[in-house]
Amino acid sequence: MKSKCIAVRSVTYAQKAKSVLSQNGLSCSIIRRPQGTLTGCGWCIALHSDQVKKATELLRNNGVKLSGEIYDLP
Amino acid sequence: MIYLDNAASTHPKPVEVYRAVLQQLRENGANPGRSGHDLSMQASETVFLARQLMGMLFGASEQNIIFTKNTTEAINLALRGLLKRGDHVLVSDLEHNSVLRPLVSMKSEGIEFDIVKTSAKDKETVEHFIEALRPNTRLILCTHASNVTGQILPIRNIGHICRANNILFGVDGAQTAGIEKYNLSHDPVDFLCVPGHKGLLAPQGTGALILGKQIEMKSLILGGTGTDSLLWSQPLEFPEGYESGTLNTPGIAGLAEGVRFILRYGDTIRAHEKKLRQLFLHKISEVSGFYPIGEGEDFVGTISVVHESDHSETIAQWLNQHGICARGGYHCAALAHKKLGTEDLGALRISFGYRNTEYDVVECVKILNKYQNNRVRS
Repeated sequence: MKSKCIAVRSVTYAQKAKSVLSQNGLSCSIIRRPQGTLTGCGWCIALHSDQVKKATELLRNNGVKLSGEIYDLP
Repeated sequence: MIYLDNAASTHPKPVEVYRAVLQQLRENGANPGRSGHDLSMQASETVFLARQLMGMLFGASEQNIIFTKNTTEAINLALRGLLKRGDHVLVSDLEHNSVLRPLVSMKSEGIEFDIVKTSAKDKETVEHFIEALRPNTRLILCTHASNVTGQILPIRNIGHICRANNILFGVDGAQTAGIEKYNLSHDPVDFLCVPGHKGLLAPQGTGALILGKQIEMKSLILGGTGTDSLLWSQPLEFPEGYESGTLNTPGIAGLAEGVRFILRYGDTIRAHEKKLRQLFLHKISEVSGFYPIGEGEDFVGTISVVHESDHSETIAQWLNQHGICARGGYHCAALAHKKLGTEDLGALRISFGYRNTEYDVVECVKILNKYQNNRVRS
């Protein structure tokens, strides 16, 4: 299964994102932002790559601030 | 021991609060929002649960709840974060020193303020605020209830004036959070400063600045946020950008349970405390030498009395010797005591909590009566 992660602006937004997505039937988990980013530590929401588009829309509609980066997970 | 100093800090707390604090301390001492391991993530969940419950109680989004260590820190954060040189601020004449002192200190930074006279009649109070507006008025900051007299001020009416004049409106909810109802999604309030350890029945060292909507604001404390660690400048993301440093997670775990308790029993507690105040007012009127101070249309469960000739600290000491905890002096409220004319003797403040009973009221008045009788005899 291919997975991706959506970067969010803070751990609070990560938890809010998980709560919003779970309420909408999307399975996800909170992970640390993958290595190699310029600004250092951060938080992401990991989920199945097929669900990224729907998740992004849900998060934006529910006031979750995204960092604008989406990473592939191994 | 009868505890009647709930306006300073409520005591005792619900057993669920003690349990949550202890459980967090014993089972998870990890730092929330810093690491990706399970314990840190669980600690973050504890903090987020508290934000969710606070959000439910105050009608605010989780990310708009900035944890502080008390109301004073929340007020300082708001004032120092929002105001800039040339801004004018209006405050009521019942404000706590946590509002007065920062503003006095900020005068040297080019921030002006005026003190607005409150009245027993809400309509007059609102009119006084309107009269005091200036073209450069940027903020009205007003206590929701006096920490001396318990008088509730008409914050929603004042808030509507702010909305109509494009002015920020902040409320000091030190005496009302957990008692009066709020919905920051609808109320004309831009920010609310609250303590955890009073009406929310949480441990000391907890509080919050709650925003209706996010406002551009400077942070008071700069440092680690758990995000963007390679940046040399502070990321001003809500709420972590304003909460630098490790949070008081055990306290916040207790706060979550205090808020849960209020969500369940808040209406009953509000009615109970007001009823006790009424009973005290009635009983103290039968004792010579003591006079209640302050007028208004509505009150929280706090009341102050003055003695005809003795200092309030002397009477508070007398009560303490008879097993009753109440507060004499000036209650960190220079403005209120100036307004009330009690700068000489101070006032004896009696403040009720959810665990007080009618027996406590009767007992307190009995001891005050004994004081007066002893005094007359000697």
